Amino acid sequence: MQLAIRHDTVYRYEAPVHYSIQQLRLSPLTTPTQIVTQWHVEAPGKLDAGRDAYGNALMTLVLTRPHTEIRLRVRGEVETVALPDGRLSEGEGPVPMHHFTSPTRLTEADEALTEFAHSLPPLDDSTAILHAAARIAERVRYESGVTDVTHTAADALALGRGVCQDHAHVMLAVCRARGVPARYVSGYIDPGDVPEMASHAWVDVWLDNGWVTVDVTHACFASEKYCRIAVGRDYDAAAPVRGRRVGGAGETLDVSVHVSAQQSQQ
Amino acid sequence: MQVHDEMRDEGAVRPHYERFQHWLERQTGETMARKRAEADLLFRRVGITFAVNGDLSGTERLIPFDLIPRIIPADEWALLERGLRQRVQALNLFLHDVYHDRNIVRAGVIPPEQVYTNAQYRPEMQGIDLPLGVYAHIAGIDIVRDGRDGAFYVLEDNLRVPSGVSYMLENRKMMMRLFPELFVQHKVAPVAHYPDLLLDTLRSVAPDGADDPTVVLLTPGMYNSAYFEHTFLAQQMGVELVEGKDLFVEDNYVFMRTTQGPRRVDVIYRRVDDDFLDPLAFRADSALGVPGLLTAYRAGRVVLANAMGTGVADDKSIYPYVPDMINFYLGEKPILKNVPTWQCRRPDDLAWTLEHLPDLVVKEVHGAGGYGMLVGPASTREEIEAFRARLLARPGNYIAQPTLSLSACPTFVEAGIAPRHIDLRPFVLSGKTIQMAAGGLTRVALKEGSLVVNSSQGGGTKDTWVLE
Amino acid sequence: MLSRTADHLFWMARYMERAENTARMLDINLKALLLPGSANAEARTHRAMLRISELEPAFDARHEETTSANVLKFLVADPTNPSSIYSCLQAARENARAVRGTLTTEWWETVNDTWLQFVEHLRGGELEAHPDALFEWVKFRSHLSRGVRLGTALQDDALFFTQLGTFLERADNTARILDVRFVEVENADSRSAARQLEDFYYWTSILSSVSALEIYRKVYRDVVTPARVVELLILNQQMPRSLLASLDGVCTNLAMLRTGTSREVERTAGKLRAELLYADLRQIFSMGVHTFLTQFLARVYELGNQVARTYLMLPVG
Repeated sequence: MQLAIRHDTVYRYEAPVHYSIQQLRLSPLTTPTQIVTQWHVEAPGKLDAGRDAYGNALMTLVLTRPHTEIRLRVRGEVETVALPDGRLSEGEGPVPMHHFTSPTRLTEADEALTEFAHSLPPLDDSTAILHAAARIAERVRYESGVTDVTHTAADALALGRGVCQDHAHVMLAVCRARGVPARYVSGYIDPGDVPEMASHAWVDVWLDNGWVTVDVTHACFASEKYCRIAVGRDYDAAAPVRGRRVGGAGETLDVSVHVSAQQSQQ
Repeated sequence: MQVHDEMRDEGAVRPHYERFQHWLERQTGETMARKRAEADLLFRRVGITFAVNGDLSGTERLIPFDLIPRIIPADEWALLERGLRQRVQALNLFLHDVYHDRNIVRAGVIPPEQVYTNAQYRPEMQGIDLPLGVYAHIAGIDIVRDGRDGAFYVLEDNLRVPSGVSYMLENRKMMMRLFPELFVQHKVAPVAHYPDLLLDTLRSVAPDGADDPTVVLLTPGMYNSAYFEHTFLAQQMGVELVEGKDLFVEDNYVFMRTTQGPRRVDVIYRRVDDDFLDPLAFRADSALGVPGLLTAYRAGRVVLANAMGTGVADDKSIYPYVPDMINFYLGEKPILKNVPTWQCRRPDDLAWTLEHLPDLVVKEVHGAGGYGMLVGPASTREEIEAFRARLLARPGNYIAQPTLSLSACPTFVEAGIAPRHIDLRPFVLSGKTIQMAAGGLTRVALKEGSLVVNSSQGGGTKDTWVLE
Repeated sequence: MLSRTADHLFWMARYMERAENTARMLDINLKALLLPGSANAEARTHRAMLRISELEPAFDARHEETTSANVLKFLVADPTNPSSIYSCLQAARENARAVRGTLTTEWWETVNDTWLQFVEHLRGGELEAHPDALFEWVKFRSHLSRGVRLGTALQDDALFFTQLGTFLERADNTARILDVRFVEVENADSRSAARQLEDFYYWTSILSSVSALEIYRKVYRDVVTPARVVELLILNQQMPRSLLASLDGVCTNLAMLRTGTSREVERTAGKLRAELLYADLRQIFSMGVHTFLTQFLARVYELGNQVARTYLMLPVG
């Protein structure tokens, strides 16, 4: 499948910002099942490129002259190949998979979550994993505007409503409560008729010595229609933009994401 | 329980204390009381105070300083030094292994979960090469001497942000000022050069290409309990004392904000915990760190001492494996012994611990400073039962050790001079070579019979003399 | 040195100077309130005192009535007023504490003791019982600080940043002290204005507030006239608290702190100083002294910002 992505981010500030540093996780990596044919990130300054702890492409933007806005513009195209049973061809990755069994603040299981996690059948094959995803999507109805990036998995389960990020966090909490390594994935999806879903989050689960990638919201494997950008232990580690500034007073953020997909020419 | 007395062996004074004992006998109670008052006044003026547990009321306490030194003969120190060298070397090799090839885990010596699910493990360090392969540039190794065999045991390794060296240095200065005659009578190994050794170590691990490396000391600020030590060491080494807000990252380098413009920083001796070092990578609410520091660090443009992620080696759940590390990496037998440790996450160890609670010291794996632990022999039945419940609720959170009878050293107390329990914390520096000042900080439990030496819980300090 | 260290030293000095000048300003106005006059005049004085430090809205939020007691309390002892003597001495001390390692022991102890003793004086009811004695004490402690500083500190950047803060604040505060009277003059009707301008007590109290009464006599050996007061306090280079002398101090210390990027701030300060040096008294009066002082205050404020941008910490938030 060919996916075309447009992602625009604009930060505006009430007063001049004297120094700002942004860390961007906005670029996909080429893998055997996802080939980046074009990718360009435009920013108002020099971008230092590197990799972060989880192997994601990381760009750092530092602005030292007074500014009142930051515009980030991403345009790109990737070609994806279907994954057999959602299985990724890459191995463990730079970090030992045991690390992904440790809970984080956003994915710590409280009593209710632990109970829920143990009510599910063991997560030892793909069917069980998809089943768990379906159950989570049922328990946490898709609704935007109820939660934000600071809500934990436990919060989402208690509220019974959330977005794909919350689904992913709940799935992570469930896996970790059962001792199964799992990691957060952020990326894009062809949103069909739910345009705000273009920016999407899903989960990789460690199964039989490899990663199986699962879209919890849709209870299916995250294959073909998905463009993977970054992985981490949770949203905080994989966030598209994370920054700090000196000055600026109030801040507003405008984001627009547009993804379109078409079948690859054979 | 049998207690090793540092000064006396069954009533007779040990050879290395003889001269001191003669001197002490010739001092009057008044003289000593006067000297103690003088020491208090001087310490207070210099500002060697300690804020307990985030007490912001502004009242600063002095850590009590006892005038009777803890004396170690040359041959005992020689053994200690060899043992410390060996241990710290093995720990640094372990850290390198954890963050590179994981050989010790592959060989089945340590279960991978112990390391990679450890809260102190930092995936950010995986695969990163550090100058000279050193992780713990400054290691504070806590050592005690047990009464049963008079041998030295390592109680705990401190590889993250070990503190206390300023007391070691100020105590020696104080003793030399109060009792210069003692230093004529005794050949005591000097310690005043420690700041030079430290600066030398820090400069030796600077990133490649930094010809005249700029070293700074990063402090959380004046509300931190160890702030005195931060200002003291920065001043002694002649390096700038900075807080997070004084630094910024640009082009993946770290710079200091000075009145002359930005100045590049090469080595950061950081007294800020891992979690607070970079709000973009770790705790977002931290105002103590520098946004972007981690990226500059991973790119090798700046060096942190101690490295990030050293906590995975000084955690109580890894402590039982240190003798295995010495064997695995150096092919040697440990010179300094570990205290026998039962890991309550293991069913057999848990069962044994539950059976013997009144005789054991049970500690939280991630605890610090003597809080959250049970000292069996000093506890009431109710306290023991309460602890049993906590232990059963989360066994993996605890380790158990036999109660050591820490050695005792004569100390000035209300009623005169009496033995009080002590420990020792030498500071081991690793750079191009391993160096240390002879001795270390001796901490003393001022309450009779108490084994808790932490200053935050009423402990004091002594000058430590290694005789040449 | 670290920008933050310089920032603390700069502000420690500014707050100390501000405390002193607030005490001076309150002292003269207190004396004015003791003179026979209408209730109207008293109210105007209160309002003027609050206005020169731009504190009217803050005061009105705290107090329903404008009485002498309320105004004094607000300007001297109120911790919620960031420009009260209390707040200034506290801020001076907190800034000093942050850079204690940079100060000599005597210097730190002087600043610290000033704060601690001031709190004691307030607790002892000195403000109600002997306000004039309290103001004298504040002035004296400020003199002491400067003396200890000059007597014990190494002549390096730490000292220059401190002095820069002192002179910048003095320029600002002195302009404000002068402005109280000229604001009143502007707002009063022309007949009472004319009478006020002749008021002997009126002008001598201004001179006393900046310790310039004897100096005036020495320089002019004649009656006190408004034109000469303005000349002495704005344009006289030898008069230590004049605006020109303060700008001299700013320029001298900026020169000691010269760096590769300080040309602009030195130029701004230099220009302002030169204008005062070559100013024409008649032009100042024809423009209106109040207008002149208002413009001067704006330029000093901007100069302070430039100093911060050149050497010190960037504003946070």
